[in-house]
Amino acid sequence: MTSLLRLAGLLDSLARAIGKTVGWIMLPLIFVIMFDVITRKLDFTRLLFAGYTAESGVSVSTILQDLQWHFHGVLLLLTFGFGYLANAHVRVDVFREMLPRRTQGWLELFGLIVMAVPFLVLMISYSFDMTALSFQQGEGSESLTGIGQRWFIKSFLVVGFGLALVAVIATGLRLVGYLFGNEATQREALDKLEIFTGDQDELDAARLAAEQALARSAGADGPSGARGQ
Amino acid sequence: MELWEAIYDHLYEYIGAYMFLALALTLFTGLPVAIALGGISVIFGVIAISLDILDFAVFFQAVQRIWGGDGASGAVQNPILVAIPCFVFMGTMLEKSKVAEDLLRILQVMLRRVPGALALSVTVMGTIMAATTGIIGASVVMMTLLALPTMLARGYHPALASGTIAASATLGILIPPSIMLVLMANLLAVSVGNLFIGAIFPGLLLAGLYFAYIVTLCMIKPELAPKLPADAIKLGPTNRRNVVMVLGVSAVIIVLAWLGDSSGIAEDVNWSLMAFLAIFATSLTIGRMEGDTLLGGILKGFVPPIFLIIMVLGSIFAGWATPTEAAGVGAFGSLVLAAFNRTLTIPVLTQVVHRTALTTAMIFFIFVGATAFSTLFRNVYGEDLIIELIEWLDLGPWALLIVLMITIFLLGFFFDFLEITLIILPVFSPVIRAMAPAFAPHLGLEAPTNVAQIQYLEAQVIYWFAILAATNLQTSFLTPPFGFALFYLKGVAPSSVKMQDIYTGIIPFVILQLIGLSCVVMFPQLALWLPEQVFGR
Repeated sequence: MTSLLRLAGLLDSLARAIGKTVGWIMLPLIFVIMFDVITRKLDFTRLLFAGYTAESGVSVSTILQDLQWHFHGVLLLLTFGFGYLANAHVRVDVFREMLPRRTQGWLELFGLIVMAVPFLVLMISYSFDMTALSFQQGEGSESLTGIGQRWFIKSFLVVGFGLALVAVIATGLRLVGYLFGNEATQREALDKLEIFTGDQDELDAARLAAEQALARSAGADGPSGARGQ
Repeated sequence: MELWEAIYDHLYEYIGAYMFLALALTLFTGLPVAIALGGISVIFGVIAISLDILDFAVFFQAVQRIWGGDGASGAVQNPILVAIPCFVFMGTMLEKSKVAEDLLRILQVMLRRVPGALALSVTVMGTIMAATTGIIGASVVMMTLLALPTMLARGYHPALASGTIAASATLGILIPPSIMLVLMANLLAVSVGNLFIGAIFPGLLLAGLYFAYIVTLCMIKPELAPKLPADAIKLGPTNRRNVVMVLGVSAVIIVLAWLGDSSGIAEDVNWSLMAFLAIFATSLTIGRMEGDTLLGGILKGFVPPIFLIIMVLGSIFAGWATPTEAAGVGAFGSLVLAAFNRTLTIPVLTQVVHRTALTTAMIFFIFVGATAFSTLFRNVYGEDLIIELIEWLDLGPWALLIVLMITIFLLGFFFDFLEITLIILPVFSPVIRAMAPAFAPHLGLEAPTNVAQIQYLEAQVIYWFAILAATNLQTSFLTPPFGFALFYLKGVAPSSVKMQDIYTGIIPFVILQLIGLSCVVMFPQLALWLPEQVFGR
């Protein structure tokens, strides 16, 4: 059991680390868009860069526009697993939150085995096919001067669904630990699981913060009094 | 054998219906929506394959549609959707860098002579801010944490306070820049810019109704919203020289830009943009010099977010940037504002980046699941089933519109706009397109005679429908006893706020929204006139 949980911990930190790192791609994405806008939409810089394009035969703008959705693609695909681990994915909670936590665990485990794993495995295998096809055909950008080697970005589909599967397996192992393990294992597994709504920790913390803010501001006669510049 | 054949025939025809039913049941187990969507499509895909209705190539098709490209509305190769992480980043940055907090603070001071000042400030802030948090739950939680303690501490009645917060937070899904409108435009294959511009009047109409209601209520019953005591927010005396300086410099900049533009010294300089940025920079700099006074507060707290929103919407409006570019510029602008606020630290940036990653993952994982689902659904002729059902119902166009609206309203009790937009809209869109000609007179258009006119008419009806659906959903999220915006609010509100307060507080706003909705139904020009003026035919 402990080795299962240790494996889960490894898988978890893999998916989490990649998800967290890949978030930083937002910054290059923003700068690429800014750069593209400045060099293409402001007449004065546009002329400068048009001269460059004419001279070199390389359209920076087309590459940048391809680069934008490349970044976006990497961001969205590689965060699926992180999102699942952090319980960021939307659930319909109306009935779920009435169930005891153990039942929720059973439901989740069942759902993971019947739904998530087959779906992700199929997606991995077919996106692998698509990537391989793209590689064989030497698929490039639609706009000739854009970013070529389309198979490279397509392979992120495989990685993304793979990471989601990693996250699902990590959660599944912890659920097994929680549902079948002895007391110590259960507690350890539960500590790491973020998927339950029953434990209202986060909401309670938020409410506590709100109440404290209220008490503070009532004491200080006006909330902004407390918030000095 | 005969029984088996009967079952086969039945399944062959109705497998799409069972798919929907199974999806509904699975969603209510509380599995992540994306996983439920994907799982159901795999299970029913395998069933359909074993019945020889489909073969495994359908999953390849699903992956291709998830990928996008070729003008298809996929998740990855789709320049339009790049706007979504950028808008999310912008909203999160404004929230975490305390720009939103400063905005609320200064709005209170600016509106202090109006009855219900704080409630009005919250409405304005919701209009500006809430658009970008991604989902209703998150934006309600953010607004509640930001505003509710302050409102209660100022002695506002809990009902008025919670009603205002819930209503303003959901207003954000309609008022651009709105993630929901980006997704809707993408799925319905219409222009994002057009939908953004079209949503402006209906959104402002609703905000105006809230404003009027709050002011009237607080005039009749001042005890619900005590006035801000004069010394509640301590601000230093405004330095008159700086007021003159702001106005003077701005005037000089405008005159210079006008001269530069009309004289034609430098044709390739965008004078109006330069003037805009110069005024922005001036007001930020003088605001910094001014410090903690009324003028300083306005220049530092109120002007920057307004400028940012004007820049984002204005550049779309002027046809100067695509929504994606505008979103990128907005995200960059939020970084600049945070830097000016001296809150752009590594921990804040890390937090914002993680939040953005999680929200993006959440939106697009559902997108992926929904794409798989709709591919399968289409391949087992589910869409034909829906069209048959509609034909069988044999409703007139208005009755049909009402049925669709009621369906969306009821779904809004249980699902966030993501699920509804991504699962239901693709199913509805052929129906809407089919009923477009019947609405031509209502939209003030001629009956179409050629293909171009039919396409134009369909697009117009879709813009109108999308705005109606958006307003409708917003109402649905707020309607007691199911509206789940209220549960989120209750979840983070101090325990002194009772569910009963929240219910009584929200009812007037629901009524106002229904008024707004019927206005847009009756006068489609509210949604269609402005885009027409901006983009022409």
